[in-house]
Amino acid sequence: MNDPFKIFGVARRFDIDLVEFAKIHRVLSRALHPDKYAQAGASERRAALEKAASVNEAWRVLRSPVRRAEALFALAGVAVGENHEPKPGVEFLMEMLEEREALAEARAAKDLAKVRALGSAMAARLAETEAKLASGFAKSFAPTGPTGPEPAAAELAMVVPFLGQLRFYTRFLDEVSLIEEEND
Amino acid sequence: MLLDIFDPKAPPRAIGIDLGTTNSLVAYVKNECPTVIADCHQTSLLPSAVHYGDRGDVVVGADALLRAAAHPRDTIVSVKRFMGRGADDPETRRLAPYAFVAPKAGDANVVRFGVAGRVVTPVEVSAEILRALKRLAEDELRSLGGAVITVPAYFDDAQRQATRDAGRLAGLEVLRLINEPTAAALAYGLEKKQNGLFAVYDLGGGTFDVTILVLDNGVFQVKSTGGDSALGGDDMDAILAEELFALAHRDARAATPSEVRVVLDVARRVKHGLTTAPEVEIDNPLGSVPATMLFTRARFDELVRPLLARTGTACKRALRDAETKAESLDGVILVGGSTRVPAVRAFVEQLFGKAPLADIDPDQVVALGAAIQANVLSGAGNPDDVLLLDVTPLSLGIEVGGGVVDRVLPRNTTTPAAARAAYTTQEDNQTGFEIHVVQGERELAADCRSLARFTLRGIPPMAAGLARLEVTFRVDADGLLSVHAREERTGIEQAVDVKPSYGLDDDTVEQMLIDAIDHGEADLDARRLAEARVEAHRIGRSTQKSVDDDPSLLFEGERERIAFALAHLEQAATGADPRTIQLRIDDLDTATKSFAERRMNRAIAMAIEGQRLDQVERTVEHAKGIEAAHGSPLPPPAPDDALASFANHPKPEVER
Amino acid sequence: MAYSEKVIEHAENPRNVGTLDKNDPNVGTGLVGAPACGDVMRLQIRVSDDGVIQDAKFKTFGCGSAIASSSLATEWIKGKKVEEAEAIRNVDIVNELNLPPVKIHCSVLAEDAIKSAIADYRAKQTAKRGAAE
Repeated sequence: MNDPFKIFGVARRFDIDLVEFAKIHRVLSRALHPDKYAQAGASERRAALEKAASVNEAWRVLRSPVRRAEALFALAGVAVGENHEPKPGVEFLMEMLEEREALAEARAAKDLAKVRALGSAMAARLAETEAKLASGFAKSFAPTGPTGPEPAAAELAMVVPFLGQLRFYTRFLDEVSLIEEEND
Repeated sequence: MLLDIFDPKAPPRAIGIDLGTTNSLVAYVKNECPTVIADCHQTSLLPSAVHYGDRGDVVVGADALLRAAAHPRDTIVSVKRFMGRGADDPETRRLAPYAFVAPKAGDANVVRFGVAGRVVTPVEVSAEILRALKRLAEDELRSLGGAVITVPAYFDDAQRQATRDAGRLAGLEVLRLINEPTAAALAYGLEKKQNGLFAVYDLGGGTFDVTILVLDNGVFQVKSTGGDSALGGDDMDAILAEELFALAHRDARAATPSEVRVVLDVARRVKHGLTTAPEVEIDNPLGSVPATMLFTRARFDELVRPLLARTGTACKRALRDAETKAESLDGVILVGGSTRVPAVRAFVEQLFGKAPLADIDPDQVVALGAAIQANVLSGAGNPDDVLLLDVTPLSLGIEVGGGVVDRVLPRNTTTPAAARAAYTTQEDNQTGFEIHVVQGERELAADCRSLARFTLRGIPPMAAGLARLEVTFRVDADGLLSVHAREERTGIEQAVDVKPSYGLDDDTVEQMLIDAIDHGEADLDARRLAEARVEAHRIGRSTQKSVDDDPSLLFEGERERIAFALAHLEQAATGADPRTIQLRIDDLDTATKSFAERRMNRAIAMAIEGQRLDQVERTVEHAKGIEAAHGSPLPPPAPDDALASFANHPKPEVER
Repeated sequence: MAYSEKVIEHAENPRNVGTLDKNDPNVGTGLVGAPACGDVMRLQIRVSDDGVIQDAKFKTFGCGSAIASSSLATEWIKGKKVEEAEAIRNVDIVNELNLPPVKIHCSVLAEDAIKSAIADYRAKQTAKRGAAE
């Protein structure tokens, strides 16, 4: 895959400043957008179109915490995705099920305040997990870190379960916005 | 007849066209000010109506409307609602006086109207409107340099393709399709020079769009878009017409085409009347009892409430997709003639919690924005002033086994966009892989809009699951999709030579172009040659400029190869064969391929460097260093004669 | 029947949605989740003393295919002996529902849920016998 961090000209890390990255995206778009090359030759128009598309693709990956984490794992050579991630523990699943049940009840009761409360509690957990991922990645990608040439991947594999958690939380929050949508 | 005249008083001008459901307009940038072009009656709104006469004559605009009552079937209004739709689309079952013709076996699945003994498609009808606008623009500007045509943001791929085809058929060089709300924002943004987060509420004759966008120093970045490509003022008319039929104790379905046309026209007048008056009394157009009818604004507001509610749902979803709330908006912009309806303004104000902006004429604002963009794209404006970053309105995906959609590009992805998805064969020795491309938000392909089908053939026999099929979606800056499939192990590739599900294939459009000659269109070969020459000179000039700007990026011998290709192109452009010109353009393309790549990489590097310095600037006061790093680019080398000739070459023009 | 019809039928009218008392020694509870998509599934069985699954309930938060897979799984295992239920494979569910490749993980989840419920039931039975001795 294309390294989205390389396209943005920044070091690999998980905790990024989205405002700063949005600016880089805009700066790159200004430089590459096909509109700027409307009068150019076919080869430049094509090259601009391709580069602009890859900049947009990189931005799509970087702005989403789940996709950003997936990209960082892939770049570090750690396999993630279907069949590659450890099964979550029973305790965690029990909690998720209970939260989802509570959300389903609040939805049935049209209790929007409750839905929002469950949503913000989940958002807080999501932020915690993001912090854990950030420090995990920071250790592996730190240029002067304690890791030698190879152990980075092994160490990083320990962080993989947090990606799974991130997806569960994200799923929950998607559900929250769906409920808000139907109650608008 | 072609002449290479360079007339400094009339350089080719790019135009912006709002191809609307009810009315269409053309505008251009005159002395840095976007201006709509009016006809000899000082009218700039061209009714989007096309009348086909018995003797093969075609009338467009107000004159066509005048003939609508007497010839309802031969006069097509609101053709935009049929663009890119299949012959059996629900849109063909709305209250309308047309004679729809079913496609013959093997024909493209598009709407067809039977008019005055001929059959026409919406693309051809739209092309007539575009031709009329083109004539209008030519009268004012003498020579045209390409057009930007606007489309509803919520138009799907088939509808966009159809619009592009119509432009091509009308003999326009379509520089770009841009979204109507974005065009409107562009016109507002440049006038007000205000940064911030805006919503554009665009209710036209037949389409509704809502767009949330950020304006930041000339960059118009769309965050999300939503809408309904079959919802507009027409629907208000239809509701009023149904009410009128009911008041007259008549069944609308049993009415004659003439009656339907007349009642729809009266309904529209009632709607216009209610914009300023609390009630409107009319004579019964059906001539039955009661003799007169009274329509009140209160009743009208009640009738259109469900339509407005539908726009509200789309607005809320757009806000959510943009991850923002109504309170965060800095302004709401009203676009489209239907936003003159008081109930619409009140609804928008209540929905977003602020009074909407409507100080630019909502009928003109889209064309004005298109003109600004056309000016930039044609090289006349400064491309650094304005940049539109738009999004895909609907998710794009592929149908995988059993009718489920695998989403490849989600809605609201910034364009241009590219995404890949990998698949494998499901059966042993499967040699073909069928790909069905769909657009929409639903989980099942049957509930989404079918865009195209194609089959990747020639996969060598292997066990199920071993083949690696990579499908790439690309959406260009027009919002148009192209699909490419490749089997990774063998390298077998196929660009989608698609049979569009609801569109005309290239051959059909080509045939229509040829047919157009019989209908008074200029000689096609002459047109092709003129187009090829314009393209040759444009590419020649720009290649020359790139070489002059970046001599340091040229490899050993590259400069000579490019100069050689340029000289050949220039020679071909003086000849009379458009095919040879195209071949030389392709040669130049090959010669400049890797140079173009290097220039693009350098553009990225410089942009990132500039951004970094910008950051430094904000934290450290170190003016000298910045000045040094920003430094002026290397001075261009003395141009050698063979290369320089293009730069000063007069622009070719077509004699009108 | 095509995938869509069967899956929609099960997703819109899921059979056996609900809860069994998880403290009942004859009830086994399986709890599984798919980290790659965030789906979570609970499947419960109540087993008679002669080892027949008398009742099965499930609760799934996930896509239509995940709901359909678990709905079908509960239908199938009711009335079966525990050993027979254990023999159900995800491919059986794939074939019955005509699941496309992108949704196969949903059937895997359902198979895992059955196994996990049976394991929980057996653990409880072992504990009960241990307590009785």
